[in-house]
Parts: sequence; structure tokens; C-alpha cells
Amino acid sequence: MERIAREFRFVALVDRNLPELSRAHRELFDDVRTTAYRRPGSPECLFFEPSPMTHDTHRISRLPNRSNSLSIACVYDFIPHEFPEHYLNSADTRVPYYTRLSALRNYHALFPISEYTRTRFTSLLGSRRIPTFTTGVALRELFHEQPTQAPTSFGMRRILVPSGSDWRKNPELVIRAHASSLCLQSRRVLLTILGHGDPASKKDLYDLVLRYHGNPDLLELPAFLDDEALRQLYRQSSIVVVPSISEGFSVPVIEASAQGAPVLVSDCGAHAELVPDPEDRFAPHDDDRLRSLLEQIAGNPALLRVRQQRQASIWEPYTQRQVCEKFWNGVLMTTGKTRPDDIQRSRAAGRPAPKLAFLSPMPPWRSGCADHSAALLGALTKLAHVDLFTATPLPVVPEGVVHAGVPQAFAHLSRNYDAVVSVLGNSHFHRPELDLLLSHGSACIAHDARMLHFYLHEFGETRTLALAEAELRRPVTSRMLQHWLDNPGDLPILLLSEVAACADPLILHSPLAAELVNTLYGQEASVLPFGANRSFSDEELTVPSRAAARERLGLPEQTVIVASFGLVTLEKAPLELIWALEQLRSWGYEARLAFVGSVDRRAGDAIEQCAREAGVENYFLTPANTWDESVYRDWLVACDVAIQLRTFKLGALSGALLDCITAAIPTVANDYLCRAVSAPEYVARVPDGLSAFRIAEEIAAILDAGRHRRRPLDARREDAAGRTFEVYSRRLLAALGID
Amino acid sequence: MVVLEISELIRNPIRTGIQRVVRELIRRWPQDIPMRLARLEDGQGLVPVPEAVKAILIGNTPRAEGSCFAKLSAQIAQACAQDVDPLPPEPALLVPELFCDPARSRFYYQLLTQNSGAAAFIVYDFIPWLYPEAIHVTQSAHMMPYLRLIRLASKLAFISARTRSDYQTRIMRGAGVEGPVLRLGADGIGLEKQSFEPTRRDFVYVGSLDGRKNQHLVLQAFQQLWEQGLQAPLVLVGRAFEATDVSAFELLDGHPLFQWRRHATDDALRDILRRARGTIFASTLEGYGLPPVESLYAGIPVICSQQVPSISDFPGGEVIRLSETTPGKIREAVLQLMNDGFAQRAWAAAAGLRLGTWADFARQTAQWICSD
Repeated sequence: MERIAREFRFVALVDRNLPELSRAHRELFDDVRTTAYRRPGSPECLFFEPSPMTHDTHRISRLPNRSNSLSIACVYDFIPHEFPEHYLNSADTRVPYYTRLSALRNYHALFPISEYTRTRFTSLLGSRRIPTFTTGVALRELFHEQPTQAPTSFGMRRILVPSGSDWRKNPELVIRAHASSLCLQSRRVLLTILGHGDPASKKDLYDLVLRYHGNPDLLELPAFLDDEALRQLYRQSSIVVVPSISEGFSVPVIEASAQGAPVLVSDCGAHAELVPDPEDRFAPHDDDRLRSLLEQIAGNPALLRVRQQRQASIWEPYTQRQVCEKFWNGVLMTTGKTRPDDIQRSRAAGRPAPKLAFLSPMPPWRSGCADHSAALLGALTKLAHVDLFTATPLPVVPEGVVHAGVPQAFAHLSRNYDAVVSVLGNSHFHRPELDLLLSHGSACIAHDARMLHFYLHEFGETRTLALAEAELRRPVTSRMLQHWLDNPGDLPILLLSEVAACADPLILHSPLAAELVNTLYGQEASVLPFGANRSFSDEELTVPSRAAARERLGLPEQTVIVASFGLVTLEKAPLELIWALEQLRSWGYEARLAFVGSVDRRAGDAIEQCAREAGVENYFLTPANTWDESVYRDWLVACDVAIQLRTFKLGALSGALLDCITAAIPTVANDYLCRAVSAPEYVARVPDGLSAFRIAEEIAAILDAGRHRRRPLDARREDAAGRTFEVYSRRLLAALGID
Repeated sequence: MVVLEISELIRNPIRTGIQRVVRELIRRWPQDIPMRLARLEDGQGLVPVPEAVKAILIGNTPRAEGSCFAKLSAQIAQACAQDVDPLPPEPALLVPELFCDPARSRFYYQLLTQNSGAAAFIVYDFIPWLYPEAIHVTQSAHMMPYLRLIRLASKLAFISARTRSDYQTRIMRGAGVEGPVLRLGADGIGLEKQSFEPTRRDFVYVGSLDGRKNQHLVLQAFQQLWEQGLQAPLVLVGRAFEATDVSAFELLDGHPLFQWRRHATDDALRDILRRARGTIFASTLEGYGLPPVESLYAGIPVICSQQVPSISDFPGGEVIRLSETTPGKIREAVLQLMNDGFAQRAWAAAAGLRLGTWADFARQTAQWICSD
């Protein structure tokens, strides 16, 4: 067991919709995960399914037979298959059952709880050789302690039937045998049946006693018993009868054996294995035989002692230690004999390129993420087969990409995909991808590390508050949420923890965001170089081309155009830009400022007031139709200097800054933003403590040096070499674990 | 008649460095030059402040803030309600404060656009605009109207040559007006002249822990010296700003050679300096830097970053200049001053310095404002 503790790290895989694990259960594990997705190349993993015929196989369907992954499962019985009229009487029950049964073939080793179950498995699914290791079921520690006096010494006083509400537990057989026996009734032998708490079931059993002319006073139907009470009951019972029609194992048999109570058991497979002497068994429908056996005992209590001695050691192979040893020996033999690498190689042999499921919004939806995905897929498809799942109607599908439909669980569950990639952003476009990610896990390209707006908009305040409290580990109020919305710089968390927990790997575009994720959630994220969504040829950025763009936009020749791109909010520090313009003009620069993008209302009001205060309201340009791609591009080409600022950090990138970099515009940006996108030298940095004066100085330095006249195309080329989608695609595959 | 417009001090009488200067200016204003105090009121413009307020402002107000601030504000508000003679027409208007109040900015903007000499300003420094990150400024738009006033004004005085240089070269890019440098008084502590004794072993650092005065580097230097066996106590005097990480200082609570006096009274500060062999001032970004000159005024030599404007034109000897502000350089300077012979020479040089007083500052200011 020491070797086990040394070699294995235990991770629980729990459906996120289930209640949280109890503390006692949580402490059994090193970690808890809610999704089964594992990237290729992850550390070697042994997947253990403790209940393969109960759990939904879809949720874990990618796990068996993945690279570096071995899968094993316990097998209990095939009772539903044997009695389909009781358990599989509709398609709703048959289909999942046989799906699960069939899925047993995918495991590398199985651990049946009895030889009987093992034999049944072989006969049902024996076409494939899967190693099996019979373990039995462990007797709970409390039952290991032997009684000082055997219950048999009191003579025939009580018959105990550990039962249950399931029809196959068959307690009626014992009632019939007991009620119809003059011998047992006249000796007032009690019959105690467990597992029948509900009034209807109780009434049925009492009615049965009366029907067979028995004394109802001799029937006891106790409510739920804890282990200690159960142990006492074994000790007070002369004999234990287990009349089940079918069992995969029989815990009551070993419990009774450990407590010195002899047993009579029905003649089903698992019982015969535990209680080999036919003298101790009866056919599950033969009440005459059972009555006869019980009357023999009542007439000759010495038979109890004979049986008790014969059965005294039944429980001994089923101590916790022995069952664990059988299990782990099987596990170690499996891991030693089976090399997952071989399995993977044989499965992947002949495949020319990896196959990816890619879930993302796409153009024509107007979203930076959609544009990025379109550009990425154009390059990625040269290295991998890509099936695209998108909720965008009539999506733009790059050549070579297969449009596989809307985002759906198939993408996550199919074993045909080497990796699954979900693209997430902070807008409602990404809801389907997020829901699937949280349910099934996948690799995740997170364009925005801050998910506050998304959660509030998509999930409402209650869930957002709960997540914020979980991340902060302290109470969070609606007022705090509102404050964070108004002041993103004060947000102490990202609300990315759920995504991070389900993403393997989590892929970010900013090393600063990755640092934050590591600090907040202790998780390593992969960082890929963010490529701009737009591209420009050198020709488009020449002096004549720029002059033509200025003419199209109606910009005067001798005026310095300072432009800021993208959506304008107060977090983009527009008031600093206004005062920077005022400062520039005071130095004699004939400069004008343009916000190239839509302006939110709060920012719009503040800008108007501030411009009046600064006396520069007449030096504003108000670009029209900037949503039009050709107009937006013209501004990128035409302007002299760009300025991109952000007041908060939180690892955020700026797509607009990347546009400026791609268009080789001499740009001024604050330091954090520059570091987030690894900005080249032609982006001048100002401190994150924003100063309109410093911004004006940097712009003036660009103008004084004449850097606004010619775009730095060589430097742009050098920078762009590291930002191409070809580079991105190669690094993405590496991050996904696919070389 | 000179009118000092001191709206900020009236409205928010806390003990900032600038308010200390304003108080000294009022307290030491020369008797022979008439002066009135005034404040700006929304809708009323410049209104006179009663003499009673002056008395409150220059009285011995307690150092501690909080309830004392509330008490002082209440006293001022009550005194402001008293009847007062109107201000004379077209006085020489002096603004000795830095402010961000939009209404106040608008008032002066209108005044200066009509006549750039209608108000004079004392300019302290341009740190919030030039080095915002050093003082935890996150945005500056609200401070830009004041900078615009300074650009517009034709009558400016500066508290250091460095501030004047920043104004001329960076703010105005060579197009600024000429203005005098008015050196701040060095006698604010009121400590009698000290003399050297080899038994003096303490090093004292006076200055708030605001993130740019580098007390942490000084502490590192002393920790290394203590490890080497030097028995030289270090005493820090000054409160900590909220954003400053003070964990390193708190960890040393109870160390026999270290003291951190967060709120020392004037008397306590004088007592601390009476045991000092030298003072230290390792700030690399200051508009002026009063603590080094106050130390020198009392005859105590100082270890000081060479960038500190207040010591820029001293002959040397009395100031051990740090060419780089590093623990290593600080350590070297401390060891130098621990040498009795070296210390004696430094003390002698300090004793020979003739430094200006607050009265000098007030007189120079008054004469400047009344000139032309």
C-alpha cells in the first residue's frame, strides 16, 4: 500500500451538478475535477470507474484508450440483463444499459466482485481478452470484531432476513416458509426482515403472513439500522436467511459469518461461491425446502452450531486489507503489462494529421474572437484536420475546415478527435461553448481573462455572487459587483475559476494574464502569441497609399491626426487623451484627436464635458461608419499617431493595439498593455499611472522625430514574424499535446 | 496689499508639505507688507478671510490627525462666519497652493486669459505629471487644469532650481517665463545648534514612507551593517502611506538598534535629533527636500541622494552625497560617518553653512509678489 500511496495521485471526477463531496470523501483525494477531458501528452493516468453500469458513459467516453491513459472498472453483476422484464422494460432503460455494458469492452482491466460475475462477464462479452481480477467485497471494519458468545447458543429464537425493497431480494419466500410452519409458529420463533421501511411494503408483508396463517406478532420489520445496531441484530439472531433470486456478491453472508450467525442462502451464483455446501442452500422459489431446513434446525438446535462452525471462515478473505490487496495487485499487474504508449501508437497508426474539434463563434458575427478564429483556422487547417462547431448561422468557414454543426457534446465525447478546442470570450456569443466546456472539459482559448460581464449577463447575479465569493473566500454583495462593473481596475478576481478548472490546457494570449491565473488559481496556463485579426501589405502603408486613405476620409494634409481605436469606455482613459491633445496644442502642434470606434454613453458624456473644459471641443474628429471594415482600415492607414490606454490591468489584451502594431503606426500605450502584447519598439510606453502630460510628450517626440511620416515597415516585419497564425497554429498544437 | 488665496488650507487643513509652507508663509509674513487671506467661494469669487482664521492656522495645532482635523475645521468654519472688511480692489494675488478643484481652476483660467499676471503662483514641483507612478497617481486628467494655469501664468516662483528647470524645459519647452527660486526655510524644527561628540551614534531618517523615499534601502544597508557588528542605531520618523509595503519595518519591531516613530511630536523629533550622528535622506524624487536642510541648519551632517534639489548647490563636506541610491552606497556613507575624524570634519562643515530661514522665505516671497 505504501507503493500505491507513493506512485499514485488520487483525483476524483465528480459531476458538477452533484452536491459537493462530504469532507470525509473529499479528504480521500488529492484533487477534485468535474470534467474528464485530458489533453494528449498529459502525465500518465489510470482511470478507475467504480460503477460503470451506473454512470453515464458519455461523460467519460474520451478517457478509456487515450494516450497515456489506462482505464479499469469494477463489475458488480448483470442482473438487469438476466431479468430484463424487471429492469429493462423500456427503451429508456435498455439503451443506456446496453451502452454501458458494451462500453466495458473499452477498459484495460476489470475487477468483478465475485467469480460468478467474472464468469458471467466472460460469457457475455468474452470476445475480447480483458484481464479480470476478482476482488470480492470488503467487510466493514466494525464487523471484524467477533462476539464473545455465538448466537447459536440461545437455540432457535430469531430468523434474520437482510433484505431490501428490490423484488429479487425475495423476503416473501421466508415469510411463506415461516408463517406456514406450525413448528416455527408454535415455538414463537421471531422473523426479522430488514429493508422494508415504507408502510405499503410493510402491509404487503403482514398480509402475506395472514394469508399463510402465520402470527403477525412474530414478524418484525425494523426501520433503518446503523452498523452497530445491525451488528447487534446479527448477534441476537439464531440464523440468517438470504433468499435473493440473484446477487453479484452477498455482503449479509460475510457479515453473518463474521458475527457467528449461520446462514441459509438461496441457490444463486454468488451464494454458491460463498456458501459451497448444498446443505446450506435452497432454491429461491422453494419455500418447502426452506421451511424444512428451518424446522430441522428448530427441532435440533445443535445443527446451528454445526453450520456456524462450517461457515465460520467465509468472511476471512474479505477483510478490507485483503480486498484492497487483490484490487491493487490487479492494478499493478495491469499497469506493468500494458503500455499505454503502445496502445496509442497502434490506434493512431496511419493517421496523417491530428484531428481537432474546434468550437467557436465565426464571422459574420461581429466579434474579435470570431475574427481571430477565422484567421487561425485558415492556418491551422494546414497542420490538422479541423471540424468546426459553431452557433453562427451561415458561418464563414475557411477552406479545408469541415463545418460539423452547432456546438454539441459530440465534439467533446467522440474519440475520433485528438483534441477539443473551445474558444471563449466575454460576450454572449460564447455561451454554448462555455456550457459544454463546464460539462465535459476541453482545451480552451480564453480571449478575455475577466468574465464578470459574461457571468452577470448570462447567469445572473446569484450565480455570479456565488462564484465571486468562492474565488475571494469572503462574502460579496451586489454593491461590490456594481462597483467592479464601474471600476474594473478594482476587481480583485477574474471569475475565471470554473473555466480554468475545466480547461486542459487553458490558453491565454497575455503572459500577464497567465501570471494572474497562476496567482489566483494556482494553475499554469499556456501563453500563445496573439496575432492581429487584420493584416496590411507594405504597399498599403506607403506614403502615397496613406495620402489616398486620408483623402478618402477627408482629413486635412497638414494636420496631425492622433487616433485611438476600438470601443471607447472610461477604462480606456479618454479624458487623458483630451488633455494630452490640449497640451500638444499648447506647444503649437496642429493636432486633432479621433476616437475610431463606438463610444459608450457614460464615456461620451464625460468626453463632451471634458473637451469643453479643456477648450479642445473644436479639435475633435468624429469618424463615421467605423463599423465598416474598409473605413476602420482607412483610419489605421491614414492616422499619424495612435494612442491606446487602459486604466485597469487584470491581464487584458488590446486587439486595437495589435491592429496599430500590425499597421505599423507609431503608437503610445501604457506599459502594462505593451507588456501584455509584447509590443515592438515603435510603440512608445508611458507609465501605467497615466499622465496626459507624459502622453503628450511621447506624441510630441514622435512628431519631432518625424516618425509619423513613414511607417516602420522593417520593424513591423520583424514583429509580425512571431505573430503569424502559422506560428500560432504550431504552438497551439504543442500546447494541446500534439506534436 | 497682497492677498494670499488659501482655499485648500481653509477647507481641508491637513499637514501636507505644501500646507506647512503656506502656514510658515502666513506666520512669517513681513510686518511691513500688508497681507490679507482670502478664499474662493462658488458664485462669490474671492472672499476675505477674517483675521481670526489666521490665528487658528498659525497656532500650534496638534500633529495628529483625525479628531484634531475635525476640531480645527470646525474652528475655522466658525471663524470664517465672522464679519470682515472687503478685500481691496485689484490686490496682488498670490496662490501658494496646488489644487484640483474644477471651479477654482475655472476662476483662474478666466482671470489669466484676460491678464496672465493677474495672479502669481508658487510652484512646488511637477512630480504628479512627470512621474505619476512614483506617487501612485493613476490618472491625471483632474490635475491638468492646474497645469494649464501654470502654463498661462506669467508670474511664477519656484521652490527649487529643478522645479524651475522642469517648467522651462518640459512643461513650456523653452517658452516659459523667468521666475525666481524661493528657497524654503531650514529652521522649521526649532532645534538649537548641535555639536559633535563621538558618543553620538544614532542615524535618523525623517520622512513619510510614501514609496519613493527609499527607507527600505536604508534599512537593508543597516541590517548588513548590524550583521557585521556595527552598533549604530537607525531611527525612522514618519507615517506610512496606505499603499506602501511596511512589512520589512514591522518585522524589526523590538530590534535593539531599530526604531520606527510613526507619529513623533516636534519635541520628540528634537530629542531624537539631539542623539543623531547624522541624518539620512535617500529620496530620489523630491520637489525640494526639507529634512536634509533642517538637519544641516541644526549642524547635523546628512547622507543624501544627490538628486535632492535642496542640497544641490551646497559646497560639500556637510553632505555625503549618494551617487547611487543603493544599500551598498548607503552602507559606505554610514561607515564613513562612523569614523570620528571624518564625522568631525563633516560636522564642522555643517556648522559653517548659512541657511535661510522661514522668515527669509516669507520676506523674499513678499518682495517678489510686490515687485513690478
